[in-house]
Amino acid sequence: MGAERTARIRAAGEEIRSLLDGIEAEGRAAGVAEALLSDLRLCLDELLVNVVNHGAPAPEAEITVHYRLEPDAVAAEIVDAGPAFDPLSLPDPDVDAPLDARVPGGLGIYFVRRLMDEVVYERRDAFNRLRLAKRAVADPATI
Amino acid sequence: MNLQQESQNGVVIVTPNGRLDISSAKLVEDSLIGIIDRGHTRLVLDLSQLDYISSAGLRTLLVVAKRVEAAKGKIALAALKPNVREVLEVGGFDRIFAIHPDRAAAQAAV
Repeated sequence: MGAERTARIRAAGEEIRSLLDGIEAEGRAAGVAEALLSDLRLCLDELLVNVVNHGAPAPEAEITVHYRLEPDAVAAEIVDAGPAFDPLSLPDPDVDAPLDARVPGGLGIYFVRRLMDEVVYERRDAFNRLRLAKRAVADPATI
Repeated sequence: MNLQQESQNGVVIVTPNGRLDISSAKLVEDSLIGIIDRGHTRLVLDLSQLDYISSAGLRTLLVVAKRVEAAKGKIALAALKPNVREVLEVGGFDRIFAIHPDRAAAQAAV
């Protein structure tokens, strides 16, 4: 089982990409399935952008990301000290709507719900904690 | 993020390369809106060089599509990488954009 790693970034948009580039590189080195890694990257991106835009009180505030990378499973937890906010309480956007009826927003959290196996929000000790996890789909040829 | 732009037979073809995420979305949006506002309303986005898109990028595509429609123009997407295509499909964007396998097919459709 891969060891848990921890990264800390300032709550600023420009910090997100280099953190995700680092996690992606570590994941490749650890032999994590490419599809898992790309889903994890997208979901972390969406959630971190959300914290920076709506949650964290100031750019100097810190966001902590714990993560675990294994060939057939990934998991992460995002911890921030912003106001209590459960992103999972947002309604799903209507992804069947025609262009005229589309309004921007809400897609990021929808991706997280759709792409991860497990998403759990918890408010504990004045921190928002969002946990996500996904396992690789077993290849029927190897069963 | 780099945006290559060329014009062929009245169609403007834009090729973004790299990542379309929160840090590049504004640049891409401003560039595309600028093109439309200069009267070029037949657009092809060649996505063969686009490695990644997040919901911030989809928001840009939505804003651009609405602007093209308001200008009575046409827009089509071409040559998506599989991971980019997956994100568009999960977001239901395959229902609001014409998606073509290559640039020539997209060009013929606008």
